[in-house]
Amino acid sequence: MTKVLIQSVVASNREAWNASAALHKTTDSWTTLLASANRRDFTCLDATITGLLVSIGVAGKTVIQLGCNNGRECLSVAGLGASRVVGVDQSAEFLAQAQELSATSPHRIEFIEADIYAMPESLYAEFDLALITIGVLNWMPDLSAFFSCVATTIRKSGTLVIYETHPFLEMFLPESADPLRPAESYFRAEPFVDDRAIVYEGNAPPNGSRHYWFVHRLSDIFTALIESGLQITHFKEYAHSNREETYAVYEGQSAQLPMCYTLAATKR
Amino acid sequence: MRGGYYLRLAILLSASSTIFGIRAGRSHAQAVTSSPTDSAAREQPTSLTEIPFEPRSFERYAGYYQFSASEFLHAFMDADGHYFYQLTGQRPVRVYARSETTFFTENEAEQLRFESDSQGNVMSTVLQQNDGTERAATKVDKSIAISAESARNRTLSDRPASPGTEESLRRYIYSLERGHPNYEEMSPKLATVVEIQLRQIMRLIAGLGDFKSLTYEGGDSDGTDVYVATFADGQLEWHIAPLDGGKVVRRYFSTLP
Repeated sequence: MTKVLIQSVVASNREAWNASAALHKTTDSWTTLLASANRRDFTCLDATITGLLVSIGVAGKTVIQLGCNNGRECLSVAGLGASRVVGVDQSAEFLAQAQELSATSPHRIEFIEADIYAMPESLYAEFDLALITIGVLNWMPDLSAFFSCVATTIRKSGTLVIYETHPFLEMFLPESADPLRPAESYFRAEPFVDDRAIVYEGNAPPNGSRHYWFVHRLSDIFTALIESGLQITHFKEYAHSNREETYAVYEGQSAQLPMCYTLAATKR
Repeated sequence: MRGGYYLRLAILLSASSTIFGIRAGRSHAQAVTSSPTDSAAREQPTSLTEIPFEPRSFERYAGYYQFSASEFLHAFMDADGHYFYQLTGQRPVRVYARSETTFFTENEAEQLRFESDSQGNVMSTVLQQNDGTERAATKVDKSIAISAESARNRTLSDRPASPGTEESLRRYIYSLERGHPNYEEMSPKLATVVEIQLRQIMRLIAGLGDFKSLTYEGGDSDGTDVYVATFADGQLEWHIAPLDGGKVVRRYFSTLP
């Protein structure tokens, strides 16, 4: 993929996120967040990622979250004792929500508006731990370039932690008549293209902003990490969902799909 | 829809650390040994009282606990059901159960206490040292301790550099200094990565001052040759994989402190 194409896709996705931001402030989730983020021990992290972060050691560490959205996870990481937390996102509209949420919190978070493919060099080698959570990798058109950029933010021997949706899940469509029947190839190369607003619950009408969702195989992810000088030290797959409610249909099956995974990698 | 994710908002109450209650045990003097490798273990009575402790109960304590980025405590049990802890770089020390959560050493100089959360998950250990000071360590995944250990002990092999990597890296650095990366010497995939990061890389290089020297450090376990580039105001560590048909296919760098 060329630089021009990557930049074009990233810009389109940025506009789509910005255009969708207002919808997110009308949800019960946002109201709940605003009411609870003022607590020092606030967390929106589930036991899986909390356990991994604690086991790796986040207390006293400098942490950067790539794709921080409205900042709720940055606040949660700060609650685990991180000494410095920086959230990076390319959507100015979502960062405005992050600032609003952060203003209610006793924790101080630094939010930076930047395309992850073009982060400021002030972030180079500044962090003990970089965090990527669910719903980031699939927005990235080129994983090798993405992880190379991520790796530049991590100190030598620092750790990248990922908690993401499992690529196998991209083969299924939970809203279809037969949601358990594979609907897409695992090896699909072209992105999903959508013109609807980006929401977490239900479907939204088209809003004129086109966005692109890329399917990356596990091998794509592992290869891109290796190419970026990141040595995988942990990889675990889980049967639980960390996605939208509709994906609950895949939980508790006798022939269970892997639904998400955690991965840690150390910078060489 | 694809693209979002459901927000699982788990407002967790602060998990206050809870120390398990002490199980009343039958008092008796117990045989002790000094290390798991000491085959001529000698039997000695201790003045502290060891309680009966099921080896199976120790399984939840077994594992790695982190004091700092590079110092760990490894709690483990040997094949005979004896309990030990071992600090990074030190010999194993045998301990004896004083309670369900507390273990003491043979000379009674040190004590190890395990702490759990309200759900009973072992979260940390506190090592009380012979000078009375206490050091707390958080339980961590084994991979973290092993990774830290391998980073600490990283040794580059002394294999010779792959043909052409040093010259290639020199040409790349010079091309960056001139502001025109030599894309023609890179695979298309790597060229895209460099092109994407170029502005940041150029600023980084400019901030380091004039390029002075390039030193081959050795071969890394991922197959790359490792070089340290020295500039007037800093150093970069560059990894470069063997060239493929004269092209660079994998190359990454770390800033050095």
